[in-house]
Amino acid sequence: MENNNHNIQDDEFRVLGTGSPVPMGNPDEERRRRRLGGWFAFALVALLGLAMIVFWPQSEDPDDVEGVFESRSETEALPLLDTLTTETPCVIKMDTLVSGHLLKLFIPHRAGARLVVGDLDEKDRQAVMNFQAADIRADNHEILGEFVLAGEQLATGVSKKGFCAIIDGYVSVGVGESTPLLDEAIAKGGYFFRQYALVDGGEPVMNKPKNSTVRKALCDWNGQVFVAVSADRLTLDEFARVLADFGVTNAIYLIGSDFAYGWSVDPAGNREEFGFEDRRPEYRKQSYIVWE
Amino acid sequence: METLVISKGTEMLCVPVDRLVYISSDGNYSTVVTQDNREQIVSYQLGQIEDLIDAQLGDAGSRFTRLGRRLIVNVDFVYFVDISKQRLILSDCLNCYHELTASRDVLIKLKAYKEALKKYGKQ
Repeated sequence: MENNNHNIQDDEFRVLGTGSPVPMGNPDEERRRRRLGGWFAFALVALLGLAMIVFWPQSEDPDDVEGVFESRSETEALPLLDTLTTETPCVIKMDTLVSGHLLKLFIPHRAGARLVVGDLDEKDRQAVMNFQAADIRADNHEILGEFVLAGEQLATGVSKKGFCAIIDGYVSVGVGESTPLLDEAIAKGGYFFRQYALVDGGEPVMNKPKNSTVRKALCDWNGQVFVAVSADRLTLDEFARVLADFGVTNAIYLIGSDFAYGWSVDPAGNREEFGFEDRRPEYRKQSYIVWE
Repeated sequence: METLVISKGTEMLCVPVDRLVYISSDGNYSTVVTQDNREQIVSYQLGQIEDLIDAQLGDAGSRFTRLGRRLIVNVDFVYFVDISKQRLILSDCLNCYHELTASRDVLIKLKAYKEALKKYGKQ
């Protein structure tokens, strides 16, 4: 009665009877499948983003948009972002539930990035999104870790393994003590900063225990970069696991609590501000990653 | 009412598939747990019960999923999946309530399967 198909591992899953009545992909590739749940969600995000842009003029209340996890393959998921019709830089803002935690996603569309040190210009209408980036000490305004601003290296040091390089407006997120992207950023007038690594090659990176708070991350999903913000108060480790469960390839931490000031501009051109600007002198100098 | 018949030697167990919550493995034996919270041990390996489900239920067997080496679960009873805590609760929200553990990878796949069933109108 027994056949060879009963060789099964503890982390394997299969549908009995005549098989799955719904598309399920390839259940044998464990690692790929682990990320697939996240891919479903990302395809959803892309689809909803497309729907928002296409139907925006007819939609009386865009907040009514709801969705489900899409069952799509990896090859189908990313090109959907390229089908967005608008050429105007904007931000697709989406929510998704991962491992019981709500993630708010800010996905820049047709927007290049750069780093800024100092105050944000609230009247800047070119910027469609910004978040705080590297750590800058409040007492002496020293930038912590390697930092390149428009090709000029302002700080050195590799205490944090995560990095973000911005070259010709394109954002790369990675983990490592050294990377050729640092030299390339300097040579090409680009930008570079370091932060805590959260996800490295799809695996969560464990950091020293930290308190629970709203967490932000700069994420790379096989080349698609976006910012994820936790709705819940999470430790760094919890946040890293959620991002890995979501299927993020690489992710680094972004500083700034839920009070950190910034804004995003939706496809209809509406600007939504969040947080507030801390006007105390010791906090006037911050670093931001700005998409425009 | 569709029934799964598990018969061997002098014993036979007949379980309405709508009432079969899960089956756990204990080596050469398996424990069949039904909606009335009764447990019945049968001298079948889990893989052999898989064969019975495939042979007897056909399409209707797709409500059952094999989760690793230890479990066959009726997805109709999946009540709560907590991937981070590796926790699975099967319940009918009446009298039946079973808390199980499974690997993270398995639970990720189970969650995706349930969501796909819902999306495609299969549940």
